[in-house]
Amino acid sequence: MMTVPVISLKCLSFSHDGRYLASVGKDKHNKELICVWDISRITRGEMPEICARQTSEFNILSLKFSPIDSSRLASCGKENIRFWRVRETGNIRGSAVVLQHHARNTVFTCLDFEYGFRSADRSENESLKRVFVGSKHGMVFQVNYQNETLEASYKTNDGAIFAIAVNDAFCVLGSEDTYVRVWPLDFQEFFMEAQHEGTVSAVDISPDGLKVVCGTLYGSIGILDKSNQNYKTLLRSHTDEILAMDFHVQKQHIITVSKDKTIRLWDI
Amino acid sequence: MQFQKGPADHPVSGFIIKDDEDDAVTAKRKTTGGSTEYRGGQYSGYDLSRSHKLNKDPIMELKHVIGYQADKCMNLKWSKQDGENVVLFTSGGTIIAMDSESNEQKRFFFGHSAPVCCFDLNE
Repeated sequence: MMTVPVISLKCLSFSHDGRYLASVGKDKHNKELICVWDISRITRGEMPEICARQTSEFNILSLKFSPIDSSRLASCGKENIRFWRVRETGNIRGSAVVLQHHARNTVFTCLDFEYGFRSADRSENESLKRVFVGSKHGMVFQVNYQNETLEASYKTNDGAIFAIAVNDAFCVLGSEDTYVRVWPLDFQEFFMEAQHEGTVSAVDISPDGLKVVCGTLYGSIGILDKSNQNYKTLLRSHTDEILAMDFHVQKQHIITVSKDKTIRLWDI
Repeated sequence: MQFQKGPADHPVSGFIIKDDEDDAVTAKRKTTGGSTEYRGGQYSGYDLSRSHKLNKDPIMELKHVIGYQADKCMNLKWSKQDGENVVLFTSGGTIIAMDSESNEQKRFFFGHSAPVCCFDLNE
């Protein structure tokens, strides 16, 4: 267990080699604080240590370690996309991506690196070229990883994009307009889509790249199978406090009522 | 819904302390004044069924949690272990690992005393 010196914690990210953990939260002065923890010795029972910390004047909604370099991070937030480099001196140096007219009033909600979990082969690492960032205006921004410049922007959704997951072949977007869409990395035309009951707030691609999991604000989790285009709901739930429940002995049903104004009948 | 009686072999995994390291780590925490005062969750990183003192019979075993805490955070991830199609998600202060094919919930991670707001997975 460790306690982060912030009053609210927003985001956590492990480095690819498992040596570091980065956290973002608001400190006492309501500024964003990035902490990088050295966790390489915790399996031996030692406490984790903060090896670098930095306050940021810029809002951060998502922060991720680069999948090939554990001293580099990328973040996005209101009106900014930034890259960070962890210094040995214990501070973290940030550099902003020049966004021109895109920056104004744009909230960048989520980001992911173009990378599949492949071998640790050096030559494959060269293939990491892009970072994709989703925004509240339904746009996806493509940022060059090597020289940290904005390369392109694509209009993909009508509603805000809340979740993005990218591997080396495709990109999955989850949006307020209740659609999950799978796009090729040139964003010409999407491969497939699935509509949900509510805003899609989380997506992730399975390590083999065949399945996509999506979670909604409606409290459901679904699995989209890319190989046969099947969609399966894994779990549904109430979105607010459950007020009462009863159990039907013969039919093996549970009935629940909740503050979210629904009554649900569950088959066990 | 079934509740199994008695302490099974490994009813709940995802604990910080492993069998063989148990005593050494506990001793170390005492000397370093570490996290022994923590009493928030149901388990404080301790497997009750394997504890010598707390092993009362019968202890009920948690089988399934229906619930997904769906706020706007990165709260849904695939397990990165090879060969398993397991999805991890949060439900209040608990993280649940659920098999995407058999719908079986395999692991529960207890310990937080407030809802989990974000998590990440290591390879």
